[in-house]
Amino acid sequence: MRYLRYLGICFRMSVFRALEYRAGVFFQYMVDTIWYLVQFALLRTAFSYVAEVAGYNLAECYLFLAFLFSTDAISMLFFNGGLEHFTRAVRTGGLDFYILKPMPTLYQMTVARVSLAGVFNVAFTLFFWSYVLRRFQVHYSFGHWVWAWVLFANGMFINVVFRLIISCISLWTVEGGTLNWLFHELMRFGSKPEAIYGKWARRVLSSLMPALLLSAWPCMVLIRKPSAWALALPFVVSLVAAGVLAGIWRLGLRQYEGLSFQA
Amino acid sequence: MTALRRLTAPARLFLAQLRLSFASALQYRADYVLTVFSVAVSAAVEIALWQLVLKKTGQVHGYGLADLIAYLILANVISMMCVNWESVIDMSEEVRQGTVSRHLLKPMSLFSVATGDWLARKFPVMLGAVPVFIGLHYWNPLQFHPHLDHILMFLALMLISLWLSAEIYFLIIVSAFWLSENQGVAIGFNVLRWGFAGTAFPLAFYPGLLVRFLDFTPMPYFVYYPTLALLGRLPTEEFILKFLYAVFVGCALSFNRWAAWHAAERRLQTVGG
Amino acid sequence: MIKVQGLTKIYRKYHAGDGLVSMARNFALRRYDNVSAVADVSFTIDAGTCVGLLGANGAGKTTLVKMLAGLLVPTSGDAQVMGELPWHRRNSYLQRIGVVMGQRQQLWIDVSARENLKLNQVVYGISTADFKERLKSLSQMLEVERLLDVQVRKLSLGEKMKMELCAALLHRPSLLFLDEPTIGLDVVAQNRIREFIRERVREDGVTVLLTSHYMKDLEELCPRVFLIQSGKLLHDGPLSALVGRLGDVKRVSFTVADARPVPDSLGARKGDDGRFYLEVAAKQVPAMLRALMNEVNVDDLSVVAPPIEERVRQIMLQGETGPQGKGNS
Repeated sequence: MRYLRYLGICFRMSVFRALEYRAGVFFQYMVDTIWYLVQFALLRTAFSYVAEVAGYNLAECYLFLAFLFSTDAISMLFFNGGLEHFTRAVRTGGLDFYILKPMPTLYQMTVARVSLAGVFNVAFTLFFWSYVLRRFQVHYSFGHWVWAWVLFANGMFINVVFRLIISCISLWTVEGGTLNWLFHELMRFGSKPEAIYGKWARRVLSSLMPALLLSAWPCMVLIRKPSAWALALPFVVSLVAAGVLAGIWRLGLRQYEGLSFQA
Repeated sequence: MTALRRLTAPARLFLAQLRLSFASALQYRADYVLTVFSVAVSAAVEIALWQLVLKKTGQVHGYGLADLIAYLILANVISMMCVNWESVIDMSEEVRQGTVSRHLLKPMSLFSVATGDWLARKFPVMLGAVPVFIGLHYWNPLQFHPHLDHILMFLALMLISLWLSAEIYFLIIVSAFWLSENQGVAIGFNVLRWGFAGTAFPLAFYPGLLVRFLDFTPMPYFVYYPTLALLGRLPTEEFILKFLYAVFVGCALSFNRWAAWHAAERRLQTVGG
Repeated sequence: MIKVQGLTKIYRKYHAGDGLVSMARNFALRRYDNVSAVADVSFTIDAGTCVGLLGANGAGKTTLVKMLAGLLVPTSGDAQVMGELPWHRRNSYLQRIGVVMGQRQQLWIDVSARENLKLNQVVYGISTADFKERLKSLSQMLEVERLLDVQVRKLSLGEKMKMELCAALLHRPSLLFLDEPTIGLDVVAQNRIREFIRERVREDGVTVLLTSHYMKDLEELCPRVFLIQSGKLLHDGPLSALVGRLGDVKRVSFTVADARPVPDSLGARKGDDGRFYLEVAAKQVPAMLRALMNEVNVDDLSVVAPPIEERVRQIMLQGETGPQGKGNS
């Protein structure tokens, strides 16, 4: 309950902050819209030459984009700001204040910068979903939808945990912008359906660098008949990633020097 | 001698700034590993997608698989050479926080400081690009064998790319005098560049109307035309036309930058400088 | 309250080198040096006292404070703070400490202080009634009631610091770490904050560990002072005892009424303000004054104790004094 109240207060503070910087919210929203536009253009262009790519037809491609936009919108709304802030907090010493509070630091950091612009992203995504579902008249069983959304939620968890693991490296390296960059680069693999990659690439991208588990996997589960292993894999990855994060965080804090150790 | 010194003073100041920023950039080794990684990821993702398309169509707009691989590797390296992430965001933050004053107190324009800082950070990437180009030349399946005229055209268009980028990024920095948070402008512009400058795939793949529209913007000059020139896909006549148009766009941007900076200077006190 | 035994912290520091060539070489191959920030420090602090940490920049004060707060894990040694090992950072420990860092702030600058404090209310699990009562009392004491709804970025430095103190004390901590809380503040704000800290120690029994470069902070608030130099504890005791190490010295300053030169034998130096200065042991002042009156036509004369800052600086510069004082156990 205390954690939810914390999230609520963070959201309230973000709203106040957003009201102060209206232009900032507008541009944040613009950036995300441009990103959606570019993702759409890149994938849609390929379909202008062929009717089907790697077993995905146009309708399924749109469905994949809907999952991709959803992942981004929710991440932008709740987590992205805080996680971007994480590495900066390490560099500026601001992390000290989070560490010294009686609430898990990683939770505080993750939701510390809830974004108002993310609300508009969610609205856009909902609009896109309704467009896709109406235009292509897609029909999947209730069970498929449940699995897809459970995997989607698990994908969000993996997204946050994986991002935190990468951010934690800044406890050693201090320079953090690069780490955010690394994360975004890795996640770029997830901006296309899983079927376009070869077998080994798919294995790596659904385990060591689990970019495909965010949007591509829920979509794949919805439109294909997945194996039991394909359904279980994301949860295994979640557990392992959470364990790795716990370990790396503990080790990182031993290493952490904060700002200006010589002062 | 004194007159010569006076004439070359701005260049020497610029070099001093470049040296300082370069030394600072060298502190962050991981950036260069990531630059390589970034190029590899970006090219790999698009190659993975387009090879499936090309399997069915054989070629798209004159690009077979080998052509496209060569294009994507070159385009991503070139994009990395002239894109600006950290420098523009850091400098905008300085404007926002008012610490930009420390640059204004020096006998050097802020444009030179910002451009010097950006180029210095890019310098190791530019150096690193040379072996990539040479490596591609010896990777026979790609048939990447540029002639001297291709290389000269590429260098000319690369200079244009850097010039236009410098102008636009400085305009973005200047926008921080009006917008309290302008990071979004920088990120938005870079995302647009990624999608519509020819980094993801050749612009010719887009629908004709979009391609004609993009031709009027500086977008294709950042990555697309330099890459085409190096691949020998840009005829000399077209190069001359494009080059002249880009110079015109560059002059217009320079004027805009100058005007925007003069307007911004007056707002300096309001951001706490 | 605090018991520290042989606490040591060694950092691994990247040796950047000098010049572009050296930096380029380091780009490929990095060299690291071990830097001892805190070296074998031991002491105990009782509850309800205010202890000052004194030392030059880079002496190791902040590292020591960070270890005691739980931010840094020491390389070796042991510390028990309120019966707990700080760097385990258990909630039961974090709930009982407050931290203020003068050069950094925990408050979000884009929203009001009240909103910031509400965040702390949730983090520390303070009930709404207690929060209201506590906020009212703290803001009244610090005279910032009318500023609670102002955006933090619009507050002055002193006002921000008062809000930081509110945030650090909201949950009634037993131990307060104050790292240069008065830095950059004007005299009025400094005085108000000192008064506030003194009241918290006296009335609430809060234990305070204070680092400051302002001698006045330490002089007024801390009956006990640690002098840290190169990570070592050089003094543990009252500030007066530290200053007394240089002996009881007085500063004699005077101006002369005529143009006659001041004899070198007096050992006086001429300051930029035109006055002559000399420092002598307190016992020798009468003799010195007699000699002065005989040899020079004195126009204006004063005998004062040298400013405490100057004397402490002298001690820091000497840096040779061995560990003394009552504690250091």
